[in-house]
Amino acid sequence: MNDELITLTPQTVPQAPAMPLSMVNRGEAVIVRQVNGCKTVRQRLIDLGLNPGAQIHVLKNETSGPMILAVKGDGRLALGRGMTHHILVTAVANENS
Amino acid sequence: MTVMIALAGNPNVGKSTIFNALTGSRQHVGNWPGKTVEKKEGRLRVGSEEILLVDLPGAYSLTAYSIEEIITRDFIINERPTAVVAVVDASNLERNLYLVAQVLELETPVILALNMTDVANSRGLKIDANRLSQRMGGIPVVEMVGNRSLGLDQLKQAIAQVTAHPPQALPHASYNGALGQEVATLAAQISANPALTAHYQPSWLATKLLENDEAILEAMEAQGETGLLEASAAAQERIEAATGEDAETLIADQRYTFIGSLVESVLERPSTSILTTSDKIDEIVTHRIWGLPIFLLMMWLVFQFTANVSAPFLDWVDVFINETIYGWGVSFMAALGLGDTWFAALITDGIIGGVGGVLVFVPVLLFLYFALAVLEDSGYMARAAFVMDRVMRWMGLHGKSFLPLIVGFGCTVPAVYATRTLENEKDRKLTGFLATFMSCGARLPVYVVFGAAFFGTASGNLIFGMYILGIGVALATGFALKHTVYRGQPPAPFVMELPPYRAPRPRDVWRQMWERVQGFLIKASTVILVVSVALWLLMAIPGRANAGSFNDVAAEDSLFAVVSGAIAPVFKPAGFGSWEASGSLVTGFMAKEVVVGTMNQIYMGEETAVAEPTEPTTFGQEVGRTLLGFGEAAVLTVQEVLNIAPRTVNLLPGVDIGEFNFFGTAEEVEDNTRLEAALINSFQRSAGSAELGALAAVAFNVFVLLYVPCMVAVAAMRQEFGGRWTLAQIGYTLVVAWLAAVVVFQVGKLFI
Repeated sequence: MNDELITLTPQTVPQAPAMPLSMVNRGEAVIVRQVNGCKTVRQRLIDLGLNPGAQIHVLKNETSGPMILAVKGDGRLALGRGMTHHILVTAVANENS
Repeated sequence: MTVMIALAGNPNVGKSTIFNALTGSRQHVGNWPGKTVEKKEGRLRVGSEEILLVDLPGAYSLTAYSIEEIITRDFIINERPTAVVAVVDASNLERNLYLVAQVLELETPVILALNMTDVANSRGLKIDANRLSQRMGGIPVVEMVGNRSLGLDQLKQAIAQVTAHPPQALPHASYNGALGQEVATLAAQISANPALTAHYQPSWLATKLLENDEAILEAMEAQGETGLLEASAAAQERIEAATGEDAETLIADQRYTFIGSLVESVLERPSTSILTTSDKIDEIVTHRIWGLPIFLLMMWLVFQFTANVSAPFLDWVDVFINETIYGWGVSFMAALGLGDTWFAALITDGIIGGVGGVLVFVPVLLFLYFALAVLEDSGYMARAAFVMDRVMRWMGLHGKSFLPLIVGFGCTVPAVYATRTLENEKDRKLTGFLATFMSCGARLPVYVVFGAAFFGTASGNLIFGMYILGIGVALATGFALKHTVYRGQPPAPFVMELPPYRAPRPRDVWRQMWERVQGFLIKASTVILVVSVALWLLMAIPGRANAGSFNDVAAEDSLFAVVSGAIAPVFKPAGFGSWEASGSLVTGFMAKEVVVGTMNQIYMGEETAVAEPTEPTTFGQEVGRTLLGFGEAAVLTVQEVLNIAPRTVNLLPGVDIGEFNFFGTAEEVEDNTRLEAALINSFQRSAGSAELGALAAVAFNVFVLLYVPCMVAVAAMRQEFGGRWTLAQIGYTLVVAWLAAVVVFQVGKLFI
C-alpha cells in the first residue's frame, strides 16, 4: 500500500456547514464529515463505508422508518433514523445524481 | 501434507456459492470451537494436491467487534493458511476492498476472487482487473460469476499456482506521515521480541495496538507486555498532537483513502444515474404503503406453496408408508412366524405407524424450506426486514430481529441461536421469547392433517390463519413487554445491508432444503422413535382392572388413556376435552411432530376394526404402484403450482376462476384417510356436534400453535437465556395457548 497516499487532515475536508444525515432529502448527494456515537456503533458504520469523506446518495428518506443510502455509489445500506441523526454531512456542490 | 486455503469476504458476496461449487459434497459443517458460528470445511483436488478449504464467516472488517471478525482473523493468524481467497462483490468494490486491505495487512498470500461481475456489468461498471492486481501488490485477481460457475477453473489454477510457488515478497501495508513513523517504531520494538514475533506480524500488531483493538489489548495485558502497551499509548498521544486526529480514525482514513484512489484508477462508472434496477424494485418493495401488502402477498405465496403444492407428494408418501411399507411389515412378521404377537404390533403399529406418520410430512417441509431458501438467496429477505422494521418497533425491537424470527418458521431451535447476531442483550432475549410464536415446521403437520380433515381444499386458509395468528400473538406479546418489563429502554441502532437482488442458484437452494430437512429426519429417527415406542407401550398396558391384557386392550382402556384422561377436563372449555386430544398434546412436548404421530397411533389402533380387505399383492405390483403413484404425484405437483395463480386471484371478492385439474378428478374427493375420519368423529364427540367439532378442531390447532416449545427448543433457550427466563416462557405459552383456545371455542359457539 505504498503508493501516493494523501494524509487526510481536517484542513482538506470541505468546510461547508454540516447537517445531520436525517435532514438530507431523497436524491441528494452528501459527504460524511463526522460520525458521532459510541465506539461500537461508529466502528460498525465505518466498516460499512460511512467514514469521514465518504460520499452518500440518499435513496429513501421518509418522515419515519429507516433511510436507504447508496454508499460510495455501490453498496446499499438501510440505516435506522436514530443513527442518521448522529452522522454529520455536507452537501456536494454539483453532482450528476 | 494437506494444503489449507481460507475463504474470506463480506456477507452476501457469494462466498458460500463458490465454496459449494468448489467442494461439492465433500464438505463438513460443524461449529467453531466454543462458539455457535457455523464452520464449513471442504476438500477439493487441484492438480495433484489435496486442498482443505475453510469457509470463514462473512465479515466487514477485522476489528474485534463481532464474533465473525474475531474468528476470521484468529484463523488467519493462528492457522497460517497457504493462501486466503478474498471474495469480493464487484458491484460494491470500494466497501468490499476495505476487508481485503486488512487481510493484506496480515501479510498472508491473498487471491482476489472478483465475484458477481455479471451484476457489475449490468450496471455498466467496468473494472480493470490487471490494474487492480498491480495496485494491490501483484496479487492474482480472478474474475468470476459464482452462481453460474464461471471462473472456477481460473480460481483453481490460481490456487494451484500459489500452492506450488508461494510468493516470496508479500504486499506490504504502510501508512504515511506521523502515523507511518509511529507504526514503524512500534513494529521495530515488537520485532525485537521473539515471544511476539512467533505469533504476530510486527507491523500488523503495531497497527492494532494504535487502533486500541480490544482483543489485542487484552492479549497483551495477559502476556504482561506493559512496556509495549505504554509505548503504544505514548505513540497515540504523539499522533494526536501532530495531526489533530486520534490514531484510530487516522488509520481508517488512510485505509479508505488508499482504497478510494485505487478504485478510482481501476473502476469506470457509467455517466448515467446511480439508480439501478435493483433500486427501482426496492422503491416499490420498500414503499411505505405498498411494502407491507407486498410482503404479505409473498408470505401468502409461500404458504400456498407449502400447503397445497406439497399435497400430492404428501399423499404419495402416506400411501407408500402406511399401506405399502406397513403391508410389507405385516407380511414380514407373518413370514417370521410372529404374526399376531405384541412384537409384530410394536413394529407395525408402534414404529411404522408412529414414525411413518411423521415422515409423511417431509414433502411439506421440503417445500417450505425451498420457499425460504429462494427468498433468502434472492435478497428479498433483507427488504422484508426493512418493511417489518416499523412493525418490529411496536414490539420494542427493530428490523434485524425479523431474521431470527423468520428462521423460527422453519424451526425454533436455530432461531434461538440466530438471536446471537443481535448485539443488544435485551433484543436477544425479547426476540428469543417471541420466536416460539413463529409457527415452526414441526407444528405444520398438525394443521395439514386437520385442514385436510375438516376443511378440504380450503385447508390453505386454515394454515395461513394459524401462521398469521402466531405472528399476531407475537406482536401483542412484544408490545406488552415493551410497555411493562422493558419500559423506557430505547431500541438498539438499526444498520442493515441491502444486498443486490440475485437469481438464487438452484443447487444451493436444493442443498439448503435437504440440510434443514436432515435435522427433521434425525429427530424422527431418534426422539420420535423413542416416543412412539413408549407411547405404544403405554397404550398396550391396560389402565383399568379387567380391561384386557398386554397388547390386547382397547385404546380407551389403556394406561395412556387413563393418564391423559386425568388431564383432559382442562380442555373441556376449549371443546377438545378428550383423552386422545390431551394425550397427543402431552407427547407434543417431546417434539411437535409427535402430536400427529400419537394421533396416528391412537386412532389407527381404534380403527383396526375397519378390516384390511385388500387382496394380497405381489412385491412387483407394489413397486409398480409406488412408481406410478410417484409419477402421478409429480404431475399433480406441477398442477398445484399452476393453481397458485387462480387461487390468489380468487382472493379478490367476487372473482372465481376455475383451477387446473389434469386428471379430471372430482373436486370434493371424499377420500378422507382413516385418520381424518377418526378425528372428525372424535372431535364431534368431545364438542357436541359436527359444526362444533370443526370449531373445536380450530381451537385445538390454536393450542398447538401457541403452547410450549418442544424440549429441544427449551434446552436451547435455557442455554441462551437462562433458567428463569425459560420457565417464564413455558408458563406464558401454556397460559396464552389455553386462553386463546378457550376464547376461540366459546366465542365461536355464539356464532354457530
